[in-house]
Amino acid sequence: MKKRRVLMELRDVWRTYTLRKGTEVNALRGLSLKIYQGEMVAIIGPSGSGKSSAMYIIGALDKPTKGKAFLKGQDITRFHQNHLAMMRRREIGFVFQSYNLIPEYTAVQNVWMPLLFEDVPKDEREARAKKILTDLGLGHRLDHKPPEMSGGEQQRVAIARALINNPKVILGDEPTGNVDTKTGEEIIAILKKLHKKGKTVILVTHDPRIASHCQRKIHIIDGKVSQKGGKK
Amino acid sequence: MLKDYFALAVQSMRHRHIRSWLTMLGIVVGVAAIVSLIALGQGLENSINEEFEKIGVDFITIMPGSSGGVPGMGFGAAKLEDGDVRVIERIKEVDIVSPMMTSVEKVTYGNEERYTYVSGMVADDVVDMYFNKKAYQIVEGRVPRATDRWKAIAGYKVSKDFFGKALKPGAKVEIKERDFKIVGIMEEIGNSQDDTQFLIALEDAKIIYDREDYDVIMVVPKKGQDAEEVAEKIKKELEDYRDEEDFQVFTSKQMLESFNSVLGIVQVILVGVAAISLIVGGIGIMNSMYTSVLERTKEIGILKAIGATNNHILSIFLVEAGMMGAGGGIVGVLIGMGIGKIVEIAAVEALGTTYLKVCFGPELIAFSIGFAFVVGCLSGLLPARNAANMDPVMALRYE
Ligand SMILES: Nc1ncnc2c1ncn2[C@@H]1O[C@H](COP(=O)(O)OP(=O)(O)OP(=O)(O)O)[C@@H](O)[C@H]1O
Ligand SMILES: [Mg+2]
Repeated sequence: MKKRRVLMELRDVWRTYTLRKGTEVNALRGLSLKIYQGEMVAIIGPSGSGKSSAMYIIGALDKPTKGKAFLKGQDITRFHQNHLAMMRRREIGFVFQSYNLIPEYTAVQNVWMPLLFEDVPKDEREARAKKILTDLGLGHRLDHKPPEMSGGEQQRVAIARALINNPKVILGDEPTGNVDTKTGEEIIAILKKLHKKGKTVILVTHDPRIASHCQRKIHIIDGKVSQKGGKK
Repeated sequence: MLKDYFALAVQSMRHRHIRSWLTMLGIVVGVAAIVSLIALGQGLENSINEEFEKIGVDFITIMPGSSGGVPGMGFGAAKLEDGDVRVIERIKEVDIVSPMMTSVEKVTYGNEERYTYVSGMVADDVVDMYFNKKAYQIVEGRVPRATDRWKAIAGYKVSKDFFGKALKPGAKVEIKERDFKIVGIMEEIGNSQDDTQFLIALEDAKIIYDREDYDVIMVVPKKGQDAEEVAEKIKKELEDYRDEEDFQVFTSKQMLESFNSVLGIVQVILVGVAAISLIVGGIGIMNSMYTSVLERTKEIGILKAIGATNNHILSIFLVEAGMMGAGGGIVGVLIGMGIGKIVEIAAVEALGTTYLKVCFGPELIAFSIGFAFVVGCLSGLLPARNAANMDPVMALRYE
């Protein structure tokens, strides 16, 4: 294996959720992993194993309760939340299983929302959103709202939104989980194309067929990387 | 990029339009009440001040009865008579001393009867005090003359629709069973009491009323004299003469001032009540924003995931709350203007007064909408902070 640059690293990360009653749930229990620049990697594991929790930390949306998380060598656990928000805008694009589009906004609006937070003027926002949507084959759905679109179309809008700021990393949390196999294949094809163009793609899934598209798999069980899945 | 946040707020309000309207209703009511009350109060003050300016502010009015604090509200059986007039005339600073009698009497024109104010006055004094100064004008016929007997000047409304048919100079009316010939019509003054009155000679009034005491004595000080000082002097002289302070002396300036201060107090109370409804409206916005923040928890999580900072989220909700306030303010101003205008028209129709003229200054409109916007923002502050401080992961997992 070629020696590649580490883009992200989790080092002995614990994430403990405290329930209202005071009970604590350890979603991550000492998770350590590395993501290399430009790779397409799958994070797999059974339901409740902590994949989404890991994803949120990798995506700078959440901080570990214990342990460290690095992005391009910087320890993001020390960053102010505004700084984390900026990193999410510029470095990371999220794609979720349930699309997570805003139902009252049109496709174009949903896609340019991240640019609004970058203070990009409206005309430029719209032009860029339309271009990406059209590239993803949604030229005929620009002014449709999510409830008026199919699951596959909605997920492509979500991918367009993830791409609008030209981030280096695409994080997909079961992006094919809500669509049929054929549409799932289409979405994977889009993600593979992005990977070919140099983006780092991280996919959370429990579907082995989806995982088989990735060069590398990280198995998570009980909030830790399972060794049986191979070296980390 | 604040413009974009406004556009998003409008979109969100339209999305939830029924709730948005209901939320704005509280502000609408408060602002409408404030705008109409201030506009009417301001208008009333303006027309009263105008009226006083017209006749001048250096009149002194003497009325029988002891003061109840408010000028013109005297009570009691004390009478002002010729002796009092002579006492005042002896004061060297006074120019005109004009006794008057006023009473509501039956007036017959043709075969129609009406009850209205009939005032007996000294013709030359009236001409000097009002008509020569152009305070009031005769629109038809002529001014009263000292030699006039059994002649009358009629108010503007009398000549129009007070009786079934119009009344012109030369017409004959019967006042308290005596014939009077109309010689002049006064211009419109704006309140029904003045516009439906009849002015007759003081001697004639004494005969038909069968009494010698006066209801009011008007005094005009000599040029250059301070009305207030002259009023004090009159008060002292009359007190010496009558041995008792069973009369009131006030200048028209004092009358105007006390009127304005009463009006001011009434206005402050009314606007205060209206302001409370604005606070209630603000609470309505707060309630609605809390609901909205809860409903949109997932949306907040999404926005944070795609890179919104706490301040971005705060702006989104704060602008929406402010817009809700401003929107309610705009609608409230329009409704308030409508209410004011309706009251103005109703006042003319029902009370015959044109004093209640609404006055919508641009400051009033701008201030009302601005204030409603601020109320909206303040009400939205806590809910918006709740939204901004949400944990992104928790918000995202919220279903
Ligand atoms: N907000 C929370 N409060 C308490 N416990 C939580 C919370 N979020 C997740 N958990 C728990 O943490 C564990 C890991 O959750 P997570 O969502 O990361 O799993 P996952 O691997 O993504 O599962 P799935 O495949 O079902 O999406 C689970 O046991 C879950 O119940
Ligand atoms: Mg999950």
